[in-house]
Amino acid sequence: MAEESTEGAVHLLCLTTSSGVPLFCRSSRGGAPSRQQLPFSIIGSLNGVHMFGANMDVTLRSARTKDTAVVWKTFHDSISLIVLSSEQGSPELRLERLLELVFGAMVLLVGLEELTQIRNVERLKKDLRATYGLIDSLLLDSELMGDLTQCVDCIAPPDGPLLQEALAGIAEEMGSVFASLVARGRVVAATQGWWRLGAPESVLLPWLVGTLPVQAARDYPVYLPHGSPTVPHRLLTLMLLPGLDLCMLCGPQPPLSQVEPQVLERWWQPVLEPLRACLALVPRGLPAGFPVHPDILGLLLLHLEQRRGLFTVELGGVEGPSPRSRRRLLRSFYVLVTSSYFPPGQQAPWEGEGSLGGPRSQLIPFLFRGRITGGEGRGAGRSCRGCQSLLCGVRGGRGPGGPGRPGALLPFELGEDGGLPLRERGHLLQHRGLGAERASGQAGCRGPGSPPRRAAISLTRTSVLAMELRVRYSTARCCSSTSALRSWEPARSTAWMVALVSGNRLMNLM
Amino acid sequence: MARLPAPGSVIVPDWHESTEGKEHLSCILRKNRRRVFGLLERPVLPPQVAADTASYKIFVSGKSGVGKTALVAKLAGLEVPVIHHETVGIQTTVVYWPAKLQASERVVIFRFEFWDCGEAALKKFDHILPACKEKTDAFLFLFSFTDRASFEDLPAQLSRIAGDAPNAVKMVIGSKFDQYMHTDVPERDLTAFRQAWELPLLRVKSVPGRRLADGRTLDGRAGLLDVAHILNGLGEHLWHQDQVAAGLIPGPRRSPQMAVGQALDGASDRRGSQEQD
Ligand SMILES: Nc1nc2c(ncn2[C@@H]2O[C@H](COP(=O)(O)OP(=O)(O)OP(=O)(O)O)[C@@H](O)[C@H]2O)c(=O)[nH]1
Ligand SMILES: [Mg+2]
Repeated sequence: MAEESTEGAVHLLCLTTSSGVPLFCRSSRGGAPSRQQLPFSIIGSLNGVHMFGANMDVTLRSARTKDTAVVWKTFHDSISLIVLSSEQGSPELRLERLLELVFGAMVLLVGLEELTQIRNVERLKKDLRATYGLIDSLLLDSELMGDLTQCVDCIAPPDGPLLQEALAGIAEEMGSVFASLVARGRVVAATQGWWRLGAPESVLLPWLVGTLPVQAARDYPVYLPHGSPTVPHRLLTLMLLPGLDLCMLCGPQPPLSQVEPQVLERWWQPVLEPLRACLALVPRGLPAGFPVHPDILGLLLLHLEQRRGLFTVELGGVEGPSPRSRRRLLRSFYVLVTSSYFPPGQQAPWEGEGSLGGPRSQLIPFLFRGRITGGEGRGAGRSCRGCQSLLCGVRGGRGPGGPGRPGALLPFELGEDGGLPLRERGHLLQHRGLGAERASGQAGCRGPGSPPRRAAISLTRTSVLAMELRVRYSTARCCSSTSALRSWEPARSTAWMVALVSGNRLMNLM
Repeated sequence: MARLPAPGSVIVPDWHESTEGKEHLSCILRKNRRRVFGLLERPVLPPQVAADTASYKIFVSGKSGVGKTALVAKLAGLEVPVIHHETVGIQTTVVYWPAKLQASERVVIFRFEFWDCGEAALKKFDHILPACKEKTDAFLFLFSFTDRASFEDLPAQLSRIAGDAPNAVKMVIGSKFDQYMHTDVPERDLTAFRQAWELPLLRVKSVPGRRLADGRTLDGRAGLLDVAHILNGLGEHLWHQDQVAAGLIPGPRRSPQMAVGQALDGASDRRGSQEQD
């Protein structure tokens, strides 16, 4: 299949709410920037239909055509954003988060006042040009996940405390409460103040730093969409090593020139090796000594209370799909799971009844190379030949099959190419909660018009194994037969968790 | 007006293409690419050819879209932006450039710190211009050959931005010279401007240079050849200005604070001796 045909386009439109004047339009295709513009008539009718609804007291939130999803969102009765996406696996939830983040990016660089009290549209248009770089980066393929998860992308450095100490030291000398070390968009260490930053700036600031072209230092005025949307702060970044920036949020003082190389050297030269180690860690995210099963191709770990996340698809294994497709897969999988099963604000299904005294909820999406392994018990984990497909699954700590069950595994079958539409193949998870359906034997790919053959399967351990017999996988064994794959028990208040392997140790690292 | 140094009178012009020059250039290259240095790093030469470093702050000024960010990226050997994204604040870029002095035949590594600021941000926020001007050693005034207004704005810029910095080096740079076919700034206007202002003027094209065999990575050496005349020109005027300021060569704009004869060949305050591993 030609790459192009599978890769959709994203168009983002920004208009003034009151008069419908277009402020800007940005596009991407196949994860790369695109200059393609939507015809003005389409922009007009997209806005028109939304306004028509608004006049009738109806809020039009989203619409879907055969291949495109459209989401509308109005901010402060002043700015309307519309996104059209024909990318696979972009349900409304993903697009809504995108719009929220885009608006956050606009506030970050322009300030809320200018967006809500529009006096001169031409002037605003001009000022908004400054946001194109950041907004474009949100439409493109990224190695980060914070745009979706609303958690700060982090890595777990081996020498965390040393770096933390140096960071605290220089932050104090510079009189900044908010300081962090950012390695290619991922936070390595941060002061207490920085961790207290609210969303979306907690995600947007490292994202901004990670996507900007190389600069020795920067002094950017920024408005914090949550914390200070109308009074600008200064974001100072200092590139200690290529790819590794020291970031500080400051008031009027100190001037950029005061953060001289001598000051930096005094604090950072003694920890130069740990700093370099951070950079080496970036694609993997985890220290080398941290065991991960070789079949695991990618993982996403979120700490929903601290709002930090660890996302990696480069754990060492070279077989299987490229890192880019792995990333796309995990992203679509995350979107599928969050939007279909755990919409924001709802409980995970296994958190409800019967959870008292039982194991706490955990949910573990993962992506790995499938292996056929022999059943349960002693023989578990034995490899069989002939199966190299990809699996993507959620492992629920509390089996919906009832209290006391070790947990359920919901395998998704993915093609070897990795590029398949999860939306279509994810039928295994069609029923909220306890049921699952499976489409036809042809990996659930259904053409339009031909309804999938469905077989409801109750998601207990047994039924997972039963399903394995049909699809000839044993995902469960891959997970639990490895000593590294211990479970992580998040606090009960957390709505739901995404994690994989040795969660406790990971959490300690983060 | 201070007498300007004649081109090639301070720095040996084509030294970077000599064997010795190429050897020195290798400290700012890595695998045929330009090396990017973090603030904790600096180029390292073998001990037998160690050279002093002379650091300068250079403020790049000009209307939005004339090509300030593109020029700095080109000088640093980085990808030149093809789409105009306004620079949202101040950003600095460090460029190291080894050069040979005519007079002493010594090699110096220039450390140019370019301060680039988006014009819109500069107008919107009061703290930016003073920060860029503070202790700056040189001003680059950019105009674009394809934007007449940016050329006509030069006199106003010169007085507004550098009016209170008589001792700093000022250079005028005409950007988008590759678009000269479509220029709005004819040669006679340039000649008149030069006569009136007596400022050095350079023409640049900040377009992507040659790429390596992989077709993607910029060829570091080729990129350096593209910009050598600018870096040499800049180094020449800065070095000359330092000598004037130190009273080593005559010039009417002697800085009163700087003690005459403070250093034998001037500029000692900027020099850090090279660190060795
Ligand atoms: N052909 C050509 N294009 C250039 C040249 N220099 C800059 N450009 C283009 O002009 C546009 C604007 O350049 P920038 O360097 O971003 O402009 P700027 O002066 O930094 O603008 P602000 O940050 O808004 O103040 C970009 O699209 C560049 O690709 C040049 O020498 N030749
Ligand atoms: Mg710029």
